[in-house]
Amino acid sequence: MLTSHQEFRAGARAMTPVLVGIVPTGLAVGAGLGAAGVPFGPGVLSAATVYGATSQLMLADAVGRGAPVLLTVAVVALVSARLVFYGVGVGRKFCEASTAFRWLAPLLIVQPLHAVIDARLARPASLAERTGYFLGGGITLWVAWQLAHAAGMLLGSVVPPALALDAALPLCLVAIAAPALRDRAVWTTVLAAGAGAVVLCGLPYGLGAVAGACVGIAAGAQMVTR
Amino acid sequence: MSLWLAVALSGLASAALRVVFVAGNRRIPVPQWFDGASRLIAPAFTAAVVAGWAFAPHGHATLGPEAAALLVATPVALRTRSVPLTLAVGLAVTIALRALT
Repeated sequence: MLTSHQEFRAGARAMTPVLVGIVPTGLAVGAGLGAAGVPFGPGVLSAATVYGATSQLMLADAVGRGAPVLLTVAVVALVSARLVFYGVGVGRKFCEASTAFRWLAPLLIVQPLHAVIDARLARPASLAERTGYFLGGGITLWVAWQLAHAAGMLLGSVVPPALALDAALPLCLVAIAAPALRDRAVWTTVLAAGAGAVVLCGLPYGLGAVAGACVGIAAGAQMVTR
Repeated sequence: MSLWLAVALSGLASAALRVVFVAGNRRIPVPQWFDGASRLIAPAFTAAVVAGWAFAPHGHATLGPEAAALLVATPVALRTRSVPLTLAVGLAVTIALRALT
């Protein structure tokens, strides 16, 4: 049985290949915020607290359009709605964790982390091992995002658009998700979610992705319960 | 001032969305069917985000460099499970086709 320190390192190691996609994405988002006129201080605060590529870009867009504060917050909350689903999934695995962990650790939750830890949390492990793995992966990803995002804000104007940095995150997610495609329920989920997201892409504030994912989960759940 | 306020409140909203079902898991009931379906959440959101980027990058359905990159990169991901290799192949296709179109 691995100790929690070993699991922490294992989580950090599991996240390392993901950083190949996350760092360019952080650079691109930081550059995007800078281009939208968001100063360095609020930009860094958004990376630390909002902590999500799409949500941060929507925040910059709303601010750039001069939207009122409450409307800006509502837009960010809508775009971040998927975090609720990740929270439900993670919460089921950490019911018996300490109060401090259950209040602070979720602040690290983002899609790449959820995708990476999903397979590990499905295997038998003690609470200490699970928390070690979660924190190892989560802190590694959070620190890398902050550094890449700050670099993007400072150096964004010199990064050529032809580098297609916007493609890094989705391509990275494809590679992370590939090992999960192991049965018909997951394939059904993925195909239905992808089709749903494209059909519903006209929904405002990027909600097509949230709605598409719900379609996929509903379709896959039918296979699970059958 | 309003920018700082907007960012701070957005951060609080994001934190609340992340924390509510983890911190309140013992008190907030989750439907029974969710136990079986919870493993589908990550693949579902991944597929939705990726498909939106690939097939509707400008807010409407279209076939362009992003779709071609996904179609080329997906077999690489399934076969190698390598993030760097998948990224390299997908980015190469994206950059090349964007340069041509």
